[in-house]
Amino acid sequence: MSTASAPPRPAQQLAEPRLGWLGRPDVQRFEVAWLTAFHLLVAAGMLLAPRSQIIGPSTSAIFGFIPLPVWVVWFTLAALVAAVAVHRFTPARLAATWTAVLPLAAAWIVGFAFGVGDGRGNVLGLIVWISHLVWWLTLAARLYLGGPEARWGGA
Amino acid sequence: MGWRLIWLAEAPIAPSGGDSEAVTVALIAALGTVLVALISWAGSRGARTSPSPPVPDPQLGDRLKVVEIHDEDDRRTLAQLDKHVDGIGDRVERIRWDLDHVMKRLDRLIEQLDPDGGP
Repeated sequence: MSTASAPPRPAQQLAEPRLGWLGRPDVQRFEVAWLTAFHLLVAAGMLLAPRSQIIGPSTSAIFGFIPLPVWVVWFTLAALVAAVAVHRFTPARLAATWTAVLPLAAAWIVGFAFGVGDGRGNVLGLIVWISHLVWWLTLAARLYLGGPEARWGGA
Repeated sequence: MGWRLIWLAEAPIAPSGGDSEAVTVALIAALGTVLVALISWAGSRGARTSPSPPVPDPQLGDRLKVVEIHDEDDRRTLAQLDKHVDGIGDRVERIRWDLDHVMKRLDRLIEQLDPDGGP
């Protein structure tokens, strides 16, 4: 009479969601690296391009209260903390990255939306920024769900 | 360093958007930062106060001894039940053998009473 049964699976293995290839650390590291590059490029663009090509009807609300140098510093800082997070995912580094990146994207979306609402804005810029924000939100969620060591704000 | 001089020398372009819109963007940027930082902080706090591993039971040894005793009792009971079932099997076999024997004798008696086998 055999009473042997299969060993119980670890509770953590049952609790963690399956993220597929989107949950692979190398894919997520590439995405954060791309985020870093994007913010560096925007900072460099704001720094190097003539102001007439940056501040226009589409972005007037964005640069109306917060001046361009502040945005340059913000984008550069966001790129720096994201680069540090690319080096090694830790909760603190990822939290700093999202704290720098997500409000910035939200502010730019609202700024572009004001321009579009006024009838003089650029709807493509709005679409690009919304797409980026959705992408980064899903990336943040995947990193949070990916495991205890990858949880921003985790242990 | 020429680019920097050009950038600094450029005349600032006055934003054409409304003041309230610009303030809204700035508020979203500032409050959003605070909000995300708060969410991160709350998340880290929640993770730190996640349930700690269970404390080892000080009476675990005693409990294990009791379980071992029960296990031994169960084994003994099972062995006795196994013997009992074997005995029942032997008795059933004997009864079957007796029944076969009786049936054969019955057939023989029927043949003696009615050798033709007719109705």
